[in-house]
This record gives sequence, C-alpha cells and structure tokens, in this order.
Amino acid sequence: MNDCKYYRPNTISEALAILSGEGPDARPLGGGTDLLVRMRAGHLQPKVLVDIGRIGLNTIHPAGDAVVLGATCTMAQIQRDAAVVQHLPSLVQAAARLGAAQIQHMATVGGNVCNASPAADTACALVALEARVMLRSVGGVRSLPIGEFLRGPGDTALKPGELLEAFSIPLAAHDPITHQSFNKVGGRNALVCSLAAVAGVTRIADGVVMECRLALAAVGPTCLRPKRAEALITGETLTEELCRTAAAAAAAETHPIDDHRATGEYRRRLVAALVREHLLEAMQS
Amino acid sequence: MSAHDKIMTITVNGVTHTTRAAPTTRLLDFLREELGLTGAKEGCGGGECGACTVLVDGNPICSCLMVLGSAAEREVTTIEGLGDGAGGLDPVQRAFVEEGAVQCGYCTPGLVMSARALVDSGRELNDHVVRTALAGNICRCTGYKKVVDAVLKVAATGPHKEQP
Repeated sequence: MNDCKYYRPNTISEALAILSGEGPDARPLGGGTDLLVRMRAGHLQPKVLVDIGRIGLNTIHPAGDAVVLGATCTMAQIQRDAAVVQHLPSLVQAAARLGAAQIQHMATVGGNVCNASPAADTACALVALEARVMLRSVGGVRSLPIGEFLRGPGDTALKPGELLEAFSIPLAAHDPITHQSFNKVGGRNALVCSLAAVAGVTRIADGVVMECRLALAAVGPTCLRPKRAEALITGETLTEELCRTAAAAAAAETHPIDDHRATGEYRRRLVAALVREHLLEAMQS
Repeated sequence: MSAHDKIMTITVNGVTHTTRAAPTTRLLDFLREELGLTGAKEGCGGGECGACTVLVDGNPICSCLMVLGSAAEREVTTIEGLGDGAGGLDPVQRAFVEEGAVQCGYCTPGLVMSARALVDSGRELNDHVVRTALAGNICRCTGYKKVVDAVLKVAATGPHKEQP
C-alpha cells in the first residue's frame, strides 16, 4: 500500500483536476472502510489514492423540497443530523445498522453507494427514497436517479474523472402518514453484511395507499424495486391479507443467489418477511 | 497536500509530531512502530474486531483502516493518553479493573477507548446502549458481561470523578 501515490486535496476542483490528470489508476478515498480492506486483500491495487476527506463534501443542507447530502457524510453524521432524523428516518436506520461505532465514524454514504455492493445498506434506503446522485467532473455536473447509477455488483455509471459529489433526496409531501423504514437480517446484529435488506416509503391518505416504494437489497445484482408488488397495493386499502400477498409478490421479483452466507431461497423468504413487516407498520401508522 | 509533500504533522495524546512517514502508512502502524505506542493492537486488520480502536477528534475509529494522511492535523488519542499522566487510571480503566473486565487483555485497549468515547458522548447509558456502542469490539475470551458492568459503573459513579 505504501508504494501508492497519495493526494489529499483541499477543494473539489483540486480533487477533480487530480482525478482527471491521473486517469483510471486513481481512486477516491473516502472513509477507507471498504477500499483499504480490498487493497490489503490484494483485490484492488490503485496506483493513486485521492483522499477526498477534506474537500467540503461532508455537509447536509436543505435545498427546496430536497435534502442535499454530501458524499463524504459518515454514518454517524447522518444519524445525528436533525433534518435527516426528521425527514429521512429510513436512511438513519440504514446508517445505524451499517457496521459498528468505529465503522460508522469512518464509512461514508458516497463510498457505500460507489462500491455498489448489492447488499449496501444506505444505497437500499436511498433507492426507496428515489435519491438522485450528483456527479461532478472538470467538465461540469450531471445528475442521475440512483437506480440508474447502480448498474450491477461493483458497477456504477461513474465515468473516469468523475466524482460523486452529493445526493439530492426529495422530501415526500409533508404528509404525516408517510411511513419509512429500513430493516435487514444478517448473521448477527453488528458488522454484518446483509443477507437481505428492505427499505420502504409508503404514503397513505384516508386509508388508501397513495404511493409505495420498496427497495430490496442483497437479492439481485443491484438493489431492486419490486414494481409489481408496488403496483399491487397502490390505490388500495391495506389489509393483513394484502400485505402478505404484496410481500409474496415482492419476493417473487427477486433474483437471489446461493452463497456462503445464505441460500437464495432463504433470502427470498427474508425479503417477504421484511416487506410484510414494512407494510403492516405502514397500515398501523 | 500533494503527492510530493513529505512532511505531515499529527497530534497524538496531546503531543504534536512531525513525520516523514509515507501518508499511506496505516495509522495503527505509525502509532505502534514510529511512536512505540503499542496499546492499540492489530486483530483482524479489516475493521471487524476493534482491537485497534483509537479516538480521532474524539470519535472511535479503526486505526487499521485509516491512513496517516487522513489522520494528519487531527487529534489522536490512544489508550496511553488516558489517565492523569502520572500512572493514575482513567475512570473507565479503573472500572474495568474493579469489575474484573479483563481476561487476556488483547481487546482491552480497544474496548476502553470505545467505552471512553461512549461515556464522553454524554448519552444516557443502559445495557442496550452500552452493548450497541461496544458491538465493534470483539473479546475472544467472551468476557462481555463484566465489560458492560464496568461501563455502566462509570456512568453511575460519574465519568470524570476521581476516586480515592
């Protein structure tokens, strides 16, 4: 690791100039909780590290009907930000379940998303929240829905020289009965890669589901939205029976693999249980 | 800092050091090998066991996953920085001793630093809060019960109170 070139720019323009100058051999370094582990394991050998910890991307601020979450915000920061706690409880729950205290003080939301693990906890919450990613390069800025940004395991729409700058997270109409949740199942409570995780944002008015957005993690090549299940309940009045039917439909839309952590069949059952739990909570909220 | 800057400063336990070590040196290796502070231990080297926990700007982090460049110009506190500097123990250390919360001791510096950060956070502590805050520190002797008792004891007697 010591033969790798290291830069620690002080501004985003400096960071972008280095990334563009060094080309594809350069990797942004956020919290390091994934990158350094993979480098030590020999899975990744970047020639250049660009430490983006001090270029001012660690801010959270409101912008109209959205919250703009900087890419280097840590899991700990997300959990204590008043606006996030108030409007984005599912993101707070995801941040609180990612790793233990030490990791939560290091790991960044941008890193969690850019690593593009199908099991990424905050990516799952951000997919259900329909966040947009804001990507910056020396050439300018573009933004994409997070669902388009995440393309597959370890694969994103990030182009060489581009940096994920922030997420723009739309706030739901200020409807007191929007229910948000994130829940996951792993081998133990802390520091565990999810066997399956589900984030949900369900808005109910006068007993009718106006909108339901579900995101399922670790059960496909990338975090996925079960569109059939969502459509099944939109416009309907939730009942225990409907929650169960929708949960089964969501599970049927997954493509889980068997691996050393769990079988695909078990993951599918977990997804059904987690979706059902979210919908039952929404029904009772 | 460009790739060509060779000199960094880092404050460890209140002392500012100037170093020419490679910025990609792990903070853990810098502490142990350059400064001789061998309290923080390497367990897994992958951020899962907590034996290397130190505080950076007051927050517990895994020093095996932080490069020196990221820690530069910040305040690092290791187990050696606790206590009164004259051999007197920090209240967290004292509680660990009194409750018998140490077995082989390998995980202890990391556990004490996580506990110290928790106590400093000012949160109201109960069994669940303590267990969650210490979930990133694995004890292979599995002596968790007494560790939790020790942290709760600090909370009950006051984190900063010097005891005779």
